[in-house]
Amino acid sequence: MTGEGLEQPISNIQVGSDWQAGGVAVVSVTGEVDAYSAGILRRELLGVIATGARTVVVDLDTTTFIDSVTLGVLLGAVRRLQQRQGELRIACGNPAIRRTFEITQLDRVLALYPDRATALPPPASQ
Amino acid sequence: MATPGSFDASSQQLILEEAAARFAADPAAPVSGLRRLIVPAVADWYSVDLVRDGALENVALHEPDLVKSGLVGQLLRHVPVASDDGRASVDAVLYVRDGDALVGVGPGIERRLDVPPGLDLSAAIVAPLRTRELTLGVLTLAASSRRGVYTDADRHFAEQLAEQLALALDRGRLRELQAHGFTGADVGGPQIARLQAVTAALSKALTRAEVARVLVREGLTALGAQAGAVVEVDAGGRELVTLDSSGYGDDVRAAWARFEVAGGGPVSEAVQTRELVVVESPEELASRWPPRLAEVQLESGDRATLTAPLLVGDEPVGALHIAFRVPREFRPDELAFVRTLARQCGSALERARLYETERDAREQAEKLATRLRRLQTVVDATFLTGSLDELLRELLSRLREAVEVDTATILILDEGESELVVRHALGFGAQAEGRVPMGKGFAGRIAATQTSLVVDDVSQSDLVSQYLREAGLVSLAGVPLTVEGRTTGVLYVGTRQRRRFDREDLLLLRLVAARAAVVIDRAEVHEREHRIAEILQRSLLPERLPAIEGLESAARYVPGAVGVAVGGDWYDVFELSDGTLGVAIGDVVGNGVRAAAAMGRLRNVLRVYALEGFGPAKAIARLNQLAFESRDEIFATGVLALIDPSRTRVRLANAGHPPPLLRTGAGDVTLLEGGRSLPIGAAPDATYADVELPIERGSTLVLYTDGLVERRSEPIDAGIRRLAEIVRDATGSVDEIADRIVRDLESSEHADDIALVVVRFEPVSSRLSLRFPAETTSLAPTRRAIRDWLQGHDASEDDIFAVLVAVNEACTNAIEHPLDRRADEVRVDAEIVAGTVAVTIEDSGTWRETTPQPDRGRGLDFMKALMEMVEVRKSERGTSVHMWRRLHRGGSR
Repeated sequence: MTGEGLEQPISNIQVGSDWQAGGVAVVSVTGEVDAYSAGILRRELLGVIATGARTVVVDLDTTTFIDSVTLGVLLGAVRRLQQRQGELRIACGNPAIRRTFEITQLDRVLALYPDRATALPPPASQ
Repeated sequence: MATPGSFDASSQQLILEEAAARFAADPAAPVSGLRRLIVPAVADWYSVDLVRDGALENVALHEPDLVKSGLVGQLLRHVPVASDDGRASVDAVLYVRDGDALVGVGPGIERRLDVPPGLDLSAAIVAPLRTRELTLGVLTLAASSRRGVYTDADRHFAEQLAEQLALALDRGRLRELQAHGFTGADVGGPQIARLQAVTAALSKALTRAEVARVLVREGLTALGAQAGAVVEVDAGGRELVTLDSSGYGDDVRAAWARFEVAGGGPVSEAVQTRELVVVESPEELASRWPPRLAEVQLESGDRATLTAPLLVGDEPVGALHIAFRVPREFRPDELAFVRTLARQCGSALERARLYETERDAREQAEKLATRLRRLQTVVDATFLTGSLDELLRELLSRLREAVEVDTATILILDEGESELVVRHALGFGAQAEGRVPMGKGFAGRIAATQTSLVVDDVSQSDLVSQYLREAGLVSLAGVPLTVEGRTTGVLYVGTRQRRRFDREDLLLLRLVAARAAVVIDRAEVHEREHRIAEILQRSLLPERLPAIEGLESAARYVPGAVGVAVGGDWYDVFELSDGTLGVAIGDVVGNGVRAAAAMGRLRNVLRVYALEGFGPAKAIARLNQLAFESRDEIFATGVLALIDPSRTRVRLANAGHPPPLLRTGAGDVTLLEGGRSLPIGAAPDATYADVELPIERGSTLVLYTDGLVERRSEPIDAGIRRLAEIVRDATGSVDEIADRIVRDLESSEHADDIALVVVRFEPVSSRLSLRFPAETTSLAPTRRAIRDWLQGHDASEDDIFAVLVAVNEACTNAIEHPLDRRADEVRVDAEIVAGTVAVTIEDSGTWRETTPQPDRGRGLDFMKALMEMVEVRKSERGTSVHMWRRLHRGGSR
């Protein structure tokens, strides 16, 4: 039973991006990312890369769940950026999410930062 | 004084009372106290003139000019004092000034008295001083021009004053006569003392029986007689009744209890001749009366007798009979003594008779007053509470008592106004006749003519229906019920004995009918509104509570009694999109349709606020603001409780509502007193705060309105305590608990609505079984179900994360990887056994060995990393994954 007329959402995800100086795109993910919602994240990442982002910061600060499919999407984005001499940086303070990276040992492969501020590349390097 | 010349009624009454007291205090000289009473209160001058030897003689006077001028003489000339017929009716005469004369006012009075020049006189009243027997004199009151003229009311007052004065004068005169009698030569010294004793005893005797007893006792003692009696002429004047006797046996007393005046013998003769009858021996008896009468007299034991008539005026009212057992001769002083005694006896008896008449009249008046009072209080009382039927029953039963009838019936005109329908009837053995056509029969006639109707004997009337005859009724009286001039029904009473209904009976009927008509009319309006409000109320309350997984819920609504309240109580159970459970209850002050409508509004608004994500305190605060913005005055109490999706915590806020109860699975009951603030609509700036507390699975939450726990006879705390006891001992389903609570607490005293919600958070099953379509959209709900289930088992956050991720991966594989999808369903079965969670995920397809996309296929790694054992089985029927993990409890949040 749900509240009057209100659909119970099948996945709580919101993805948005904003641009910083020097071709830095910040993609924020709020909610849960699974096999259903990972497509939304993939489209967003492909979009900012195609638009010319050199550095993409994925902010997982308000993300509550990721799965193997999400990891696949992130790795795909890393490969695409590497082809263009770009990089993917991940802001991830949530221990549960960080644990997901650790389980698959992807924490060694991906650039993880405790929050968005540290994930942003220093202006000097640009 | 309202007008000059006239003295108001209350002052007059005071003067009359004071006159009575003064005359009684000084019976010897009543006239002496008159001056201070009269001047200047009621007159400027007065005069009292008494009849002496057939002429008037002035005995008291204020203002000598009146006499000097000869005016009093003129006034008195016209008073028929010389009338020796004491019973002639002579009224007081009022004179008013007209030019140089005083002119008599009133029909048949043509008197004109010249007023001498210089005498300031504007009016006068001449009132005769009369007793029952004779005119004693005249009281004259006169007014100066300052006072103005006398009115007819003043004349009436003067008559009353004159009457009192006359009585006082008469008593004085009688005393003198008595004193004269006692000192007379024919009464001996000892007997004077005896008479004085009798006088004293008589003065204390109130009733005729008492007077008779005094006379018999004193008469016998004074004369040394052995027997005696006092008899009285009865109302018809043809028989004598023995009031009291002494010295006679039962047989004699029975024989002489009542006998004819004309029967003969000494007593009859004394009454008939009004003379003392003296019999000194049996021989004398035999010589004076026929043998049979003499024999009867002798049988009573009488040998010598003195029988004196008791007279009032000249009228014989009875006789005093004194008897001796031996023949004897009587001395003159003995005869004089008996005569004197009898004379006193006559007036004492008359006085007692007047006293008794007055007492009877007073008793009757009091009885009537009591009857009216009882009826009044009854009618008043019936306005207070109860349904219309209870009310009418009470009304009719008291009416029956008050007018002493066998049946009482109220009929109401039906909506078509063509028939009267019996609304209530008392005193008919079986069912009272149901319907009477307008204009037909007794009741129909009353309704059609709108007038009261009395039938003394139904056999003499063709009005009365066969039905009423067969009910054994003989006499009937009925009145119409009217409201604002239109007939709404009929009230009638009946008796099975013939009865003559009088004006007073009809008056009572009309009184009751008037009240009944109003009550019925009001109750009908009220009942209609009550019905509408109840329908509205029920239509606004959820008929069935939503089925929410992991939740058992029941709600009850019981409307208040008719005449009291319906509408205003509400409850609500709903689920938010994130799985949060909302439970609300409330009570809008007021009743009827408006309250029911307001209830519906508040309930919906509160739910919307909760659905929009406001916490309980914020939602209630918003509702409060809304109440103050509303055009209608809204005042309500309520509780909103939100239970988180894992059903482990409750957050609530309370707007002046009785505290909810929480019962753990073990049976501990807690009153949730926290989070209480002002009712909605009490203050625009009221603040509300949430209180949050943990709840266990298997707990039961009980919300209710005050109608359940409030009784007129006791404080609300007692009701809450009783509810807590019932909840503590409650077992069974929530429906059974709700029924039990309503059954045990709903009492006849419950006047208000009752609303009740019982929700129980089911103990989590050790098993979880999910079936869902093989779509990725199923993943999020599946994760939520697993999270709730594990939280219910108090799993740690680490465990929950591990199982959640592992199951999610297995399900993702089952959804995305089958080579050939033969079925669309994925099944997840989980179980906790001995602290270990085991999960099986099955589909009906075959997984690909490798994924076509390089960034996929880490699922199995996840599962293996997070679970202690993972096993994938493939068969023709499909693929199944079994995995388990030991739980580390107690880590929840």
